[in-house]
Amino acid sequence: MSSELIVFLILAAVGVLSGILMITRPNPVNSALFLILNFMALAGLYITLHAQFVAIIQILVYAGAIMVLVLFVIMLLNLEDEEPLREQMSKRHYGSLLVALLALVLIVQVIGWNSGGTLETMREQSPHALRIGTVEHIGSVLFTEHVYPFELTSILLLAAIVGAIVMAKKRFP
Amino acid sequence: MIPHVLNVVLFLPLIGAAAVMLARRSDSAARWTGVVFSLLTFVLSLELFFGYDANNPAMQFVEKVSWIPALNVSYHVGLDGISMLLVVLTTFITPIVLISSWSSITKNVPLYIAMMLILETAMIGVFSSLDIFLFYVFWEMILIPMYFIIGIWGGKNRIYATVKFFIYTMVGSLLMLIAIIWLGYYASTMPGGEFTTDITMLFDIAPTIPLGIQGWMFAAFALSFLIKVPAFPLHTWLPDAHVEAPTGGSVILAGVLLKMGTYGLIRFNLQLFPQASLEFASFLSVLGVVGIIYGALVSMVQKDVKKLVAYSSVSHMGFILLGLFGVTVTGLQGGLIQMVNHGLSTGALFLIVGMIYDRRHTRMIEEFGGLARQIPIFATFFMIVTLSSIGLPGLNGFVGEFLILLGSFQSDVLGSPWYVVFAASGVVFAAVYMLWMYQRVVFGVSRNPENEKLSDLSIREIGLLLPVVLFIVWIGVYPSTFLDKTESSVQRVVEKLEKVQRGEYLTTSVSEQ
Amino acid sequence: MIEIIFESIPSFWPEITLSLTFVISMIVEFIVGGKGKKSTGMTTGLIVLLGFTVTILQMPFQDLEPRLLFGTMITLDPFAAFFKYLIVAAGIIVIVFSMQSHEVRRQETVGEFFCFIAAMTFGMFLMAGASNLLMIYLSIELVSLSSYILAGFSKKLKRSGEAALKYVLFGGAASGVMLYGMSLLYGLTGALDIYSIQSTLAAGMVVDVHDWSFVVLMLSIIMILVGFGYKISAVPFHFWTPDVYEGAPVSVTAYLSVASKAAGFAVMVRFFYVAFFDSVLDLGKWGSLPLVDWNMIIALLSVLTMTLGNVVAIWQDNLKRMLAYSSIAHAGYIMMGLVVMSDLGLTAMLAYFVIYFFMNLGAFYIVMSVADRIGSEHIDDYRGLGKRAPVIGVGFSIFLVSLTGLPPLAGFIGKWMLFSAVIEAHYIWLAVIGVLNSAISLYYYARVFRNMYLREPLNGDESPITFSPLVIVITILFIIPNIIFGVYFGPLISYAQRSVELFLQ
Repeated sequence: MSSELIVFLILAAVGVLSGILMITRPNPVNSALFLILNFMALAGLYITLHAQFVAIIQILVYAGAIMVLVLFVIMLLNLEDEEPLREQMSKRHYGSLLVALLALVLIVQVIGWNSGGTLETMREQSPHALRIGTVEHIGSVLFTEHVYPFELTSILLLAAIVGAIVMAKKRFP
Repeated sequence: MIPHVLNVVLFLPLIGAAAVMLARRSDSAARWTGVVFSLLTFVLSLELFFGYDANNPAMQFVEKVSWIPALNVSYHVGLDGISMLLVVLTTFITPIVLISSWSSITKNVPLYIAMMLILETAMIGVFSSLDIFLFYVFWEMILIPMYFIIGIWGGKNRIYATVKFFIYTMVGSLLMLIAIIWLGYYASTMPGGEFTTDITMLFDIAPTIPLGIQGWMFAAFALSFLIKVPAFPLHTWLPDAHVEAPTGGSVILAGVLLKMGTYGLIRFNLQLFPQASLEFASFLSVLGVVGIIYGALVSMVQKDVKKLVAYSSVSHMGFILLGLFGVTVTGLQGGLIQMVNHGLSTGALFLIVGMIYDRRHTRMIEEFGGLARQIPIFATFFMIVTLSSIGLPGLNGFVGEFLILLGSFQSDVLGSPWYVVFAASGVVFAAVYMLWMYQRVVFGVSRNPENEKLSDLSIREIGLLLPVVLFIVWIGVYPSTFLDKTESSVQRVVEKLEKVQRGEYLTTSVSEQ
Repeated sequence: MIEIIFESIPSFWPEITLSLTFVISMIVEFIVGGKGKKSTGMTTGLIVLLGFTVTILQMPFQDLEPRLLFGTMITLDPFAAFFKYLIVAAGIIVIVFSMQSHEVRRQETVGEFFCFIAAMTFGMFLMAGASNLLMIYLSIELVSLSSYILAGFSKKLKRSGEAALKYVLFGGAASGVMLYGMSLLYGLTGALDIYSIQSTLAAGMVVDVHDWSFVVLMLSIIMILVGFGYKISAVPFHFWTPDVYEGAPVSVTAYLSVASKAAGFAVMVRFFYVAFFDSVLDLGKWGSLPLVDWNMIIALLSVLTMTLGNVVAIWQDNLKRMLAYSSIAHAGYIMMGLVVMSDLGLTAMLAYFVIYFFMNLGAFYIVMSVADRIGSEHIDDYRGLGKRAPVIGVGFSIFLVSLTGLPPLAGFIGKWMLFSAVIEAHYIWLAVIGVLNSAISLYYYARVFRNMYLREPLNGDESPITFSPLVIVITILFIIPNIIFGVYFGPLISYAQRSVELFLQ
């Protein structure tokens, strides 16, 4: 058992466990915290896949920014902590069950396809694939090949920020 | 010879319309401007009639200017005998219409005059275009003025009538548009050919289209024209439009607009698609005959004089249809002269109905009676026009109907006397419904005290009817003045069709493909 | 790499000007804008107007030799330039409209309004030239984002907020689907720029017809089609259109219906024309996507779009909503040009856009002016307008008749060109459906001028409605091209013919 596999198993176990805990905790704040843990575990998995950039973004954007926002909202709304989260099975739930099943099939299918592929074989097959997720590579691509879309994104974000303020601004501030 | 006389005749009314709209000082100024321009147009159009060389079957007074080189579209106009006669009919009827509206139209007069003059340009354009693109532009140009004439100055249900008129005409003409473009592209597939809408070129190209496609194109064109004619069963817009339209609108509609349909059938269907024409000839003739009888029967039960005249139009136009698709020189000549006749006599009937409506504000037959004693001049004119419409020998209607029946009887294409037998019964029916109506309106005892107070025709009204009656008699007695002008052109049309019938024309039939 | 950027910049001045316009106008608005200063919004408007004018003045000096900018991000060719002219001209007109519109001027945030017009115009410029999936997505997003805000601009009106929300939800879903489709395409071909996608697909290296990969490819294209369809409001992705067009300020509606649609078509044509062009086996357009008749799919979409637009428009009593459905129908007509995708088809599309520009903007302008004056967009309030305001009545009739496509007005030429294109390609049935639709459209356009001319005013109020001379002049300025292009359209067609030159590698 290589060290890589041990790290993977630990991270995977943490990820699955925190996922389950997130949906079963009755207290929303607890759920949110478990979700953060889940994101952390995923970020760890990304690092084992040589995708540093995605890992960092995962922590910065999801675990950092978005979850802080979610927690902020939860606390702002001041939810009663023992709100029963369990609901009756309704027709809509059958639909979600179906989607979940489909997703499961998809996952099994994908794993089944790539069962032979380990990190080693990937390393042999395309050395480029290991480089692609590094911060260095993404940085260089972003500032050479894709510099224009990168700059355009700034305009897009500027428009989005100002737009959000314009829409939200009260008529008489 | 006046140089470019056709251009002048074509655009003078449009200039007149602009003048009327710009100088909308007073209603009477507008009326006078309109009448002067339309009369001037008529006088100039006489040059077309007398300057026309009857022995030359080719297009005359031709004007051609390149318009849109990218599409090979040009401003190309010219006349042969067929269109020349109809152009002169248009220029003859327009001043009559304008004068007839002198006192009956009081609302928004300058607009009315302008619409009529725009309509005149569009109608002359339809008859004289030698480029289908140009033709289509003029054809659609009719819609807007007619829409407003019925819609603004019409009767109670005018809005319903305008919508019906609009939609019917539009559907037909749009399908024709597709056929026009298709035709243009077909021309571009010929060796060395290019996209063209020039009729004189298409006359040679179109007959070579395989019969399968030719049939579709023929159908698209024919649908548009049959709606305009209107042939049974596409006629339902006509009574509504006629009843709701003001007198002037009805006269123009019956006098000229319906002829655009039959003209289109001769100019485009017969000449562009001779093979398909022969295929469809008996079908269209049947439609004509059904129209004759149906129109006559429906006329018989009408209570409204105007509606009766409207349905009689369906019957008369059926005759013309029969004449055209017998494909004989006699029949076509008869159809042509019948177009003029119908324009004159039905136009005059609508004028007369309008005159009595102005006085009594009703058109119901039961309201009248005993008019002969009260207003004898009116009764006399009414009598002459009624007889002309019936087809009494010595008046114009007889000449047309006789030639049509004779032509259909001789026709090899139809090849059966039954068409004539049924069509002739229409003549009898016509006598019944027209005379019965005349008798109830003019003779007998008055059924309404209002009738006692009627005044007879004014000088203006007599002046309107006199020229029409003059031509009614002229054509009845000596039709050769007009028939001679058209004969060579008609002969050319028929010869082409006969050639096709004998299989001398280069075509590929479907079976060979 | 840096050299490519420096090389690209000289060909990129119009876009740079536009982005500067956006940024500067925003800064100016921050500095001078504020409470109670009515004039500031107009200052910003004038700055944007100036920016647009500078942009349009720069464009004739551009060398239109087809080439790629910033690597493969953006293509510059006559086709793109054509749409850019159209977009920026529409932008200028919309700014002028908005400056007059009470609906816009009453708002607190007029200044920002103009900033977002600038942002949207910039986005559409990029759409016109985008030749990289990334650019396509980003430019569409920029345009969508700006238009969400513009659509919800009149905050006082409830329907405006509703419109914006619907727009955001539909837009979000559609762009999500499109992005997913793009990622599938990227996964299959390993390329983001449409030229590499084209060469990869044409070589037949990645896709095997007998394999799942083919299904994935089809799926990705359908997903991308969803995004484009949403942008041009083709059925069945049109649901947002009527609400947004009705809820947004009229000038925005006009802009959305003309420029945004044009940009959507530009990017759609470029993508489908280039990416699936088979140059190896010489199968031509759609050549790399065998087995499925894409022309037929587009034709069916076109039929659905025009028929639904026209049929539903019959029942609309709000003129803005009616024009919204009519613009859906017109998208359907324009798609006929896309069906054949021949040079003639593209020429027809381009010519149609120019004509549509004049007739549709004119119609919206009238609706806006009348709404400002009498405070209603309802068809019954147009009764007797022909007599009460003659120039407006005549103008509106001309725009509507032109939209119907009757000669001798410009709309007829547009239809003629489109029908020519489909008939040349032997899609007679499509042309027949197209003309039947024109007949339907006549019915509801005629309802308007029936009310204006044939019916008496509702309350018997026949007093004339006066409009400012500026309104009259602008109306006449719109009438003129509608007539001129109807009788003398040679130059228009030859310009469109020159502009169909798409950059292919």
